[in-house]
Amino acid sequence: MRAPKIIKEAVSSQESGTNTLSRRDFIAATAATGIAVGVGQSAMASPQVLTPHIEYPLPKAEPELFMGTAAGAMLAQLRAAGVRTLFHTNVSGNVPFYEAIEAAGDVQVINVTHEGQGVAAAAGFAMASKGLGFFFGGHIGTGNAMSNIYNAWKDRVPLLLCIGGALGGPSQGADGQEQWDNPNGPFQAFTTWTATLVPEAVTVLLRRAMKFAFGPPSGPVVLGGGTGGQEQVQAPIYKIDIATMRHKSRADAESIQKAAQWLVEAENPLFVVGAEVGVEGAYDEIVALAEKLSVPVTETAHSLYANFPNYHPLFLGELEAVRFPRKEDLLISFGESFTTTQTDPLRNVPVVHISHDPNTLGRPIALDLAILSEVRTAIRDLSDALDGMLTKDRMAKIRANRLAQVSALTAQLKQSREMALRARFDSSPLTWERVGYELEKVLDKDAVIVPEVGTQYYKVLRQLRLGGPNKQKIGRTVGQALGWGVAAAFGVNLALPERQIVALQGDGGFLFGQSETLWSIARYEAPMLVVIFNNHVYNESRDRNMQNGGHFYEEGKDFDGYLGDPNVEYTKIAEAYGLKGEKVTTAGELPAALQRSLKSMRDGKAVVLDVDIAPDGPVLSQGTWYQRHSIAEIRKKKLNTTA
Amino acid sequence: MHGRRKMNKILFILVCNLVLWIAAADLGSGLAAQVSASPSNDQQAQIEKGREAVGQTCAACHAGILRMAQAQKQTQEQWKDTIFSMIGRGAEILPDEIEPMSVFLAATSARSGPAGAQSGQTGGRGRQAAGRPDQQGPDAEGRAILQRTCQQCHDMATATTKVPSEDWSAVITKMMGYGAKLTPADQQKLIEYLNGLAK
Repeated sequence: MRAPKIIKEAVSSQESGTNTLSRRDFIAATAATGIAVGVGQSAMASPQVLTPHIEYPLPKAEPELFMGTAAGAMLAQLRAAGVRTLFHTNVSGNVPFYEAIEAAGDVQVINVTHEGQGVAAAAGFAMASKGLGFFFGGHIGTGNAMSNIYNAWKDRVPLLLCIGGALGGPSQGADGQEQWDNPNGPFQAFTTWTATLVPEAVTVLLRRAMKFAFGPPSGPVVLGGGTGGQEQVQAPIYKIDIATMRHKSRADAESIQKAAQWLVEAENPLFVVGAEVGVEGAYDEIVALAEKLSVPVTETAHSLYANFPNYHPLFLGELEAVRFPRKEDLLISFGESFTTTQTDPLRNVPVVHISHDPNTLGRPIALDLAILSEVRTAIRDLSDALDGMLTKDRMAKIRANRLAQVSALTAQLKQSREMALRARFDSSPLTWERVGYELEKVLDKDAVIVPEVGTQYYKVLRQLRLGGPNKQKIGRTVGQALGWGVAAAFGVNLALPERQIVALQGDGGFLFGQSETLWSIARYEAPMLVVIFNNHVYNESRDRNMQNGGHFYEEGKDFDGYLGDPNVEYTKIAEAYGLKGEKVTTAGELPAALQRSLKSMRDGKAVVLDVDIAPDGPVLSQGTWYQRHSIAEIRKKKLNTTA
Repeated sequence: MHGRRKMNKILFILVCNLVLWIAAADLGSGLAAQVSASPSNDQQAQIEKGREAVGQTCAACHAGILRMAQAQKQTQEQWKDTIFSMIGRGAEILPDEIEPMSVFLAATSARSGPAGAQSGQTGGRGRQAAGRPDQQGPDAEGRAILQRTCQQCHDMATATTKVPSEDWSAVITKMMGYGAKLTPADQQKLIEYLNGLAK
């Protein structure tokens, strides 16, 4: 047997200029002598012989050293982590950073004209690329950015936001120009960490920030102090593999065995699949596990990704609406945080929650078994445990019996959906279902859908084949603060330039400051489709306010729902930004309009398709009422007259 | 004089007959109305099937579905539209339940509902929060459980009436088979409350 390779001689304290030996050097020195530090006597008597693996070479311990401006060090560290796309909203003070960007030659700044839209675009980019979203801007845009930082925090998106502005120093307490104390304070509720970049530790802090961004829990990190500046520094550049930044854990065998045993014993188990399946890309694994025992699968409302094929015979739909099996006796959550779920459906049902995020386990709901693990790994472990517990024959019998029951139900539900589609198929204004039906006919099989629509969303999404090898879905943001969708879709398009990207956007949500993103879509020639579901009303809140009747329902008075006056021409907004706009008012117009849109997308130009949609919910007697007030009418003084 | 008395007697008899005839006509039309208002056996079966389906599906998201139905006062065709809308939104309604549900909801809408409105909750997905039991005693708790569970499908009179030969435990078990969600503790409190009403 060979003796272990001699570790490079430790650097002496004299050579290093210090009077003490570092811990690393001490261990290296003792290892070279064959003495294992901190190990029992018996191990010392017989040192272990390591067999080298060719695919795991010993990494170089010393990082590269960068010498130059702090801004240059910052960019070098970002590039070493594979970050090449930087989202930005205009602010002064970043010239050294731009100089570094220009010198590098392989980094793209994406300008967005509103900080909130820039953050949403960075989030969409991160979600699609499974990497890090990076945004830099000014502290003066803090208010603008907050809404979509909150959304990213809810979605657990790894974002790094470098915010410039005055920090500390003599200006504290002065209430000077664009200055307030504690600039990082507003971010703290919606970030996993905030700190201030200092030139002498710019790459150390950046590396640490990335670690916090990925966690778990993953989420936005804000670094104040801008983009480094022009102070000269010597900074270590760490080689960072973003794919491994998120710490991965594995459950203990006992927990897996317990979960597997419960699954075998349960007569009516149910799975719920959540965002962590999408984050990890564990699609094949969860389908295989569900099929193993034909366990029906659900998702929660506004599930962030298409975590399970929605056309699969085992897929029931939303957990809250499930009526099969009649008496669930076990629920296993695979990476679902239950953020948007009311807990009623889970009363009296034993719950096993598998998550890679320790912050999520047991938080919204009480659990019978919490399993901290990469979801993909837990699925495989569970599958192996089942193989060990059940004979193939028994497994096949359970699978066949349950599949017959579940698929009979899902076939009927599909028939009901078809009846609902056909009931008003040719209606104008259009139904949500009709739009989904036509989209499914023409979109690429692997298109990516980015929805930001209200409680009617399932009507269009259930007409699309989502999940598995078919279309993916990113959105709606779990945070549900409006003003996210179009920018997120733009970020997705930047990350996935070869895919067809379709934003499904409610008219109400579009009016939450999203036209700014059309500027970026035009500037960077993102050939995406934005479908605006224009029902001229904030349908979700109107539905909620009116569903129990009452005085306002009887009189048809909705104080904040009706949007149709003015009747916004979204096509003209699109054209104002140099994009193509099409209006669809009847069901018969939609197929041809979609064909023209696809052609425009193939030619490289984005399209905004404004589709008239029928409002939903209880019919108001005055559906277009709003509390009228006209400044022009009430003024007594007539301006600019010659009389 | 003898002739006038005879004439008066005849007139009196005629008037009495006329009054009797009018009263009989009223009663007849009232009965007819009652008969036509009573659903046929087929209709009743549809209503019951619709009630069961509403309990299993609508009540999953709408705690006060009965109050909603009474407040919205829609026709059967409008309710069918609403049902299609809910199917689109993910409600697990089977094809053969659509018609009975629309019949049940329309029948419920036709009855006068509770006065006043319940304002919707802010945020969330439009479901009302389950009512919290009054902390002031078992009766109040039982009533609260009845209101949030039984009244999803039944009015108060129906919810508190049973066939004398059945006990409440059996009725509640049957209702849970139709979709009513009750913990064992809730069941006990509800049974005690309902038994207490009978005393």
